[in-house]
Amino acid sequence: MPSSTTTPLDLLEVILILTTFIVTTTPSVKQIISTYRLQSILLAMVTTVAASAKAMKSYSAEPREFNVAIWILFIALLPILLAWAIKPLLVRATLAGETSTLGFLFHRSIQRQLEEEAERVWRQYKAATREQFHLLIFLILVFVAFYIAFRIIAGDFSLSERVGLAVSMALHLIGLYNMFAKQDIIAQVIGLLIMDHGLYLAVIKIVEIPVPATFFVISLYFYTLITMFILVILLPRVRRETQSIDLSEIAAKSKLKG
Amino acid sequence: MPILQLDLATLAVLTISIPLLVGLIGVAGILFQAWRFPRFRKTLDFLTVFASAVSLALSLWMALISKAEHLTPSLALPILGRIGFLIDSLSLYFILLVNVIALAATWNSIEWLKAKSGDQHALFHTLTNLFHVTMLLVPLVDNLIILWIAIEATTLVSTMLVGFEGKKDSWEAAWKYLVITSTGIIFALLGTMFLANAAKGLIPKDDPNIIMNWSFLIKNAGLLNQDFVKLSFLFILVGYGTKAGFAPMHTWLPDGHGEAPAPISALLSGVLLKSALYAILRFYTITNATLGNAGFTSKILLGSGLFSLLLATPFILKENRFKRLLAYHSLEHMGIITFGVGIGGPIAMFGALLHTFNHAITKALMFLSFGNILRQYEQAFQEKGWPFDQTKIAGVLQSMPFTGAVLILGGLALVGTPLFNIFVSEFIILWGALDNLNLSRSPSPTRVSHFPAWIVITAVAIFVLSTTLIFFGLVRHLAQITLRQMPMEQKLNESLSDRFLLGSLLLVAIIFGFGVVQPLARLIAESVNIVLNVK
Repeated sequence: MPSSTTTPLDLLEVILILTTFIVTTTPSVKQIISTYRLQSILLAMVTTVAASAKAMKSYSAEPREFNVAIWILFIALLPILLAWAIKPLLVRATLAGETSTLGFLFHRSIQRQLEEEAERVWRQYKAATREQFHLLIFLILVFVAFYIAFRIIAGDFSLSERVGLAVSMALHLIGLYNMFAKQDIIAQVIGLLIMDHGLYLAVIKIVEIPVPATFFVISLYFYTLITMFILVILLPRVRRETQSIDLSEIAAKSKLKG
Repeated sequence: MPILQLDLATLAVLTISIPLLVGLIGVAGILFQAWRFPRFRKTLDFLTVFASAVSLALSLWMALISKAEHLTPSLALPILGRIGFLIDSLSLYFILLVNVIALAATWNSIEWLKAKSGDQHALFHTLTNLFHVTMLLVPLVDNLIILWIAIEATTLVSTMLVGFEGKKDSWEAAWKYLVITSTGIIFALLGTMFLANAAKGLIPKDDPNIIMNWSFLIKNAGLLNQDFVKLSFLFILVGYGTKAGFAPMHTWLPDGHGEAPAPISALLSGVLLKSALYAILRFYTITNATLGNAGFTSKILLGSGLFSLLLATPFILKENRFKRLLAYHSLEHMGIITFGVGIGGPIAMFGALLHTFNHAITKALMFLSFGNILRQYEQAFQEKGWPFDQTKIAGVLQSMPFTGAVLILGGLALVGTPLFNIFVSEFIILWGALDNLNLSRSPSPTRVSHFPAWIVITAVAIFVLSTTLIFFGLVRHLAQITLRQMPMEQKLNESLSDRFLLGSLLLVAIIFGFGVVQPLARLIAESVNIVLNVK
């Protein structure tokens, strides 16, 4: 019989949706970064609490479940990693990779100088126009996610699992919409990163990672590696070749049509 | 029997190891700047083609000695424990497919690379070999999570190859390709996790690692949670379907195939799409075995196949750059394969699996021959100081008679003209659909149709109408390229090596137009039994 009670973790998950609204509708890139970092920390907290609860419950009785809990803890590092990397990576993408990746990531004075230059570009960032329209769509998407989680999907899910499923789906849908509806590279990256958060949450909350948890955690790390690849290697090259972060401008000049 | 098992496992490891080794030599060449020496570049050329040829020979050997049974040898690794390989007829069939096209693509790349700088030379061979390795890993692994990792690894390597030309359009295409397929692959990972949840109660005490092995799941399919399995299949179809180029997630196809170098376009269209299809087939089998019939999966796949076919048609009919047009043909043919799988039953499934081979051969032939034409015309335009664009290519039959003739014949094969390979597999799929129609009118005690007669008739009508329209669309494009007045009065170079390669591919397309060569027919028939889970 699935449990019908909610936990404080469920409330934290709902806050993830609110932070997603801010990340995807604010016109300020600096605010996007700080809110995204807050969301990452919240997600890391959810992961740690969920894993610790599972570990305590299974420590003596279920050694296999205890191992699973320990592997889930490794997932908490992923949002932290993205929170740490988002600003330098967006700066690098904006400035078309004018310095070496390692020097940029680890050399503080180079970082500070480039951040100032990037912020000048970001001040002209206009992706958040029509934010009320986007917000309306996001609300509809959240409604759809909750409707699917509570009304359409069958199976023995507890109330807490259904909330997790709904929030995870909402993050996926909003991320996906952000990527395809907004015509700039920053919005696309943010969309992808929000979807990553949705994926982590799904793994932690909905999918009770079975043995072997190792493979699932490795696959999540591998997926995050791909995200990093996009941000570190590909995005600066696209930006360097196109000289724009505005995809509608790139598309207007592009020969890739039809 | 143990000797046979050891042999197959060893051959499988060798098949992967040889291109991996050459890839690592390429990495060393880049790190130590050995690409500056012409001898290193020539050696790398030779080694890359040699690795593909040996890998193909080994996979043929595996196909010849294999029996119609599953073999799951495993490899012990630190932390991960034992990693199982799955070597059955279906995986061997896809390994063979990968190796055939890899040999054609690497062979063709030698001529293409002559105009490139030394560092590009080494980088291209390195990435191509690694791409080859990742595509071989997909059909070889038993664990479905490692299968996901292998498919994601193909994306990582191939993105660099799509953007290899380093032009604005190439990077834009690489960006779209990576972002769209990475988005899709999230769904595939969730689908895999849902399947894991479906098997939660089945974890074996002695070896819990095998819980996500396909060979274990198929044996215990009847015990899986049906709700989770259904959810898993839907997520898998969206996730791997994005990579396989199913509509409406196909939008990366025309850009990716259109902007990649021709040998890479051949690999992307010929085998990469099929690697994702292979993954879908493995989940399809588990889903059907769990639900007890193919009704759920068949309806979704038939709808998906027809949608892809319908969507491809207007894009092939309209004016477009030829490589993009070929990419839309990939959408069409993936639609035809999915149509065949959706129809189901042994006949249509045989046709669908045969079509994966026929499409791979024909599309490689088209991309490689058009790639040669593109290269020669671009060079000729540059020499004259004229601006070049793909749309300016004309009169190929006069300037490059052999390649022009191959392009025409390959094009005719691609649109399903009788006496060519594609016609045979399309015909078998339609035969399967009509057999289904008979079943829906008078069900047999052993086989059932999942569709009412009117759906089968409508589906067949859409299939025939789309393929007919596409036939006229491609013929019109081919006539413009080959027969229209050529812009310059000169013969362009057609190397003996390229002529041999294109001639060989065309010969295969013609031979398979008269029937399926026996060892391959056996392999496909056994693969059909695996996909349909017939003991």
